[in-house]
Amino acid sequence: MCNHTKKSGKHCARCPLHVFGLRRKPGKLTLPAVLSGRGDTTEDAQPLNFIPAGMSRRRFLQKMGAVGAVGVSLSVLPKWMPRMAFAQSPADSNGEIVVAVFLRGGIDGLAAVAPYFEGSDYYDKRPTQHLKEPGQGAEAAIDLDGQFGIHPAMQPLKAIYDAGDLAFVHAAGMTDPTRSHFDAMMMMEFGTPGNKATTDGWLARYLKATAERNGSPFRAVGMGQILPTSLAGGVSALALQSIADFHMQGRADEVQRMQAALAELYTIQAPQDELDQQAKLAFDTFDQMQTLQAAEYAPANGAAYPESEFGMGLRQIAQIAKADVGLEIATIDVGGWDTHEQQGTFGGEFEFLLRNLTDGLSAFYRDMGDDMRRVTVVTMSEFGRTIDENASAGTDHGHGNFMMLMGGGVNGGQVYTQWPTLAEDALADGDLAITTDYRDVLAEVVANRLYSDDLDFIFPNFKTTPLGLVVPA
Amino acid sequence: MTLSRRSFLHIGLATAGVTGVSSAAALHWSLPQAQANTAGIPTNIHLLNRISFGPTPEEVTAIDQMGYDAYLEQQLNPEQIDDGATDALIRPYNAVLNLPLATLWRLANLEYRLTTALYGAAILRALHSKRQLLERMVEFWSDHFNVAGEEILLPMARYYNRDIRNNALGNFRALLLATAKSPAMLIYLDNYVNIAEHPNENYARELLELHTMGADNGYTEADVENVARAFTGWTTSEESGYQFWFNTSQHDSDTKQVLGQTLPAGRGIEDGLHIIDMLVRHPATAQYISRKLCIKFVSDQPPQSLVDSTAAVFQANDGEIKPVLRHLFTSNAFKAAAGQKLRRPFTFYIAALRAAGASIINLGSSYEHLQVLGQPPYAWLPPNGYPATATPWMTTNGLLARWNGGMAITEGTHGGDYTGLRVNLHTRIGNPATVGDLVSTASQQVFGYVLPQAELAPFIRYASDDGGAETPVTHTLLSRKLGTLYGLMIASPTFQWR
Repeated sequence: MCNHTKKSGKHCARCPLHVFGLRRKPGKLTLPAVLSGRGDTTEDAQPLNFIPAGMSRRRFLQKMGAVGAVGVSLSVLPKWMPRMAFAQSPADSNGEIVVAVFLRGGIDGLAAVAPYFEGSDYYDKRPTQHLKEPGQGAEAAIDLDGQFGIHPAMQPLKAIYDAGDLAFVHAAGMTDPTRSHFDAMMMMEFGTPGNKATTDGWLARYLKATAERNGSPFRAVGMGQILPTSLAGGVSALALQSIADFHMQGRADEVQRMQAALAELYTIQAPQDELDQQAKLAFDTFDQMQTLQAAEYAPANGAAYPESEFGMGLRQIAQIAKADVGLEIATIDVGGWDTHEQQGTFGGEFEFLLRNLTDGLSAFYRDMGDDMRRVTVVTMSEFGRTIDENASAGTDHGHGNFMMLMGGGVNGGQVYTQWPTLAEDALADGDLAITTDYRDVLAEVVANRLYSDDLDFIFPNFKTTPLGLVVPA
Repeated sequence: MTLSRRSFLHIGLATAGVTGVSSAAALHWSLPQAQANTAGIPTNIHLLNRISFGPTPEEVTAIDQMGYDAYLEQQLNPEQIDDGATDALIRPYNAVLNLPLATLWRLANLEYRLTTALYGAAILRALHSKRQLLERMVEFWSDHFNVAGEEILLPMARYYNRDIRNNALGNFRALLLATAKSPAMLIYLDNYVNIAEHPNENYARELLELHTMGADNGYTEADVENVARAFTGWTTSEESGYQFWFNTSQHDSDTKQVLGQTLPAGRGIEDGLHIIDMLVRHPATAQYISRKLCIKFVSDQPPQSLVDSTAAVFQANDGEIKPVLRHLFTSNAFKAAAGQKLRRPFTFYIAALRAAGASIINLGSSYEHLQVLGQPPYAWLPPNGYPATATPWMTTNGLLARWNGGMAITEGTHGGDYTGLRVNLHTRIGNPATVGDLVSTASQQVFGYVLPQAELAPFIRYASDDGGAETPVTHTLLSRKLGTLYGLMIASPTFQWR
């Protein structure tokens, strides 16, 4: 039963899941494991992505036909122009890397970064799924700033926080009031709260806006089988399940001959067209992948990644980042946060998930070592969870949530918040309000680390506010 | 030693004279899609490429015997085509859609049954149905009237299997009304909570922008608001068994102005019906639907003259769909557009299965393969449907997935996983004497015709290890090259276009 139902006693008009009686966990549009016949695909699979560009390149070029005839100079490049047409050395970028971590399902920010100072406004509504005040035993929060404290499972992050390389942002998020996973994830990744008709993701727009900088096939990498919506829409980001898998498959004794035949086919049959360009890029990538694989990768500084999909994904991001092959943007997902029933803040599912998240991030930080000065990790989730826990010792879809920023360029060691409080009249439809638009957090990373001044294009119809959380590179 | 990328590119340089990535490449994109093989596609194969999910030897024989016009006419009248074998495949899955909810919710494996009835049936029908044009039109309208979301599995399964399918070759008004009343659409675009006190414009906006008139095409913001008011009370609920019902008490019965017409006060469901009639007859709708059909079936940039003449047929026939398609497929503009459409990943996958004569023994594996390729059925979240043009689909990763997809289907490997397919190429290929015969036969099966000699050459070089067309086909050669030859053909640029 969702919180909305509980309050009104009527059918919930917000969550079709609850209205329509299908009890499976919502959140991801993937094939249920029952159909695929495998039990391990649902939770970690990613939602569908691949959103089209609003306007085809060809159409635009037709309009610009006259310009094209005398050569297109870099200064008149449209923002959506795919990078491969103007490939240049990765050295043209400033070497900064942004890793965007999406916590799918709506992480419970009130059990991860607890506002323990709220006292009864927090504890009365959270009789079981809470962190105790610092110093109150094993289930107590680790204090951050005298007001907020993190879950004990997040202990490894405390040292990074103390070193000034980790900041928390609280009461942040995507401002549209939707409590639908699909809509919230989609709008958040589009970078356009309230607008579901956007056709490309915020990271895709960054890549388009700066297409002339970097022509590496590794410029943008989405860990996973398919790209997240944030990278969808007219850019050739690479969806990478694993470095070892990016190659042509088929009979081992025939692969080389098949590649040679394909190279011939794609140039003979389709000279210089778009498909041919993609084919060349694929061959280029095979080549570089071989270099990566040739070097047996061992994480530095004794970093131990968790043996999870998230851990292995971060490990490969670190490998690509260190290989200096032009990586600028990496995305990675970690799912399972939709804890409606038996949340298990301690000893259960939530703690397990939080440990995986924490151990992955801290291993990445340790592994990257000095290189962390040019890396910024940012975490986000489509919405927070209800302040009231429900009758099943779980929490339902809420609104405001926390974000994390980790990296050498982060003004860390602080919990940044315009805390709206948990008082009844300060709530947004019963849930934690959002006082920091997540786009302000992202915009600061884009502007100060990636040095893009195209914020109007990346976050359309949004006036960004500097937060002072990220220092200029 | 591995052949390096540089040597690959040298092969290309010798032929095409590429001078590196530059504005020259960008300029080339502005030219119309001119594939080297375009002119070589026989007209009958061109029709099969467009109205089916890929030619099969059986359909090639059928159209060559019947002739272009008779074959088209038969496809336009699917009730004349016996499709009992496909129906028999789907029937067990579909049974679940008819059960009363009280029974349905108690079923074991409910999700499995619903997902199979929804996603599985779409894959099986595209692969096996003899009524291929009907399936193509179901695909077209499914994109046009897109709904998605796992929360609405049952309404979605009913929607795509009935509301869309039953009207796909019928009348546009009936189709539009069926979608307007369908619980899947009512939920997906929030009209089920569109009530007089709190109008919700989501459905109204998409009805105008995506379903009928097209964006910025003659309506105002006020029109959107008033269309939303006209549809207040169109709703559904669990109590109704996920049926449409009109809730009079939630309907805004005041007078409304829409597109310059006055809807009088005091009416109920008639308001919405009135809007639907207005929209179906609106010239902008005829233009918008005709343009989308031309993009789907002719080219990404169809000639305006063809769009106009198609729109005229649409209007003259009150939205009857068959005359519109007949006009389109018999037009000279259509016949001149061979090879100009990119196969989307779903079509690529189904066409590859049809080319290899594969059948599916595990639907889940097929669904996963479609996920890797980027287009699993009914999984596009925004209301605008999967893109119909080529550009959004041309990505490095997508291309690699196609290359490996071809190999996976024909070699029975998919990244080491089980492909869930049954393929027997040895039976399919027969007993070719030479590599020339082998490659010609495979080309006939994969492309529907034997490619011109120049285009066959790379396949002959591959299959004969540069020995030439006269190289005898031995058992050893077949065991090494048969699967990969089909895979290579499926991976080739020619196969990506239709």
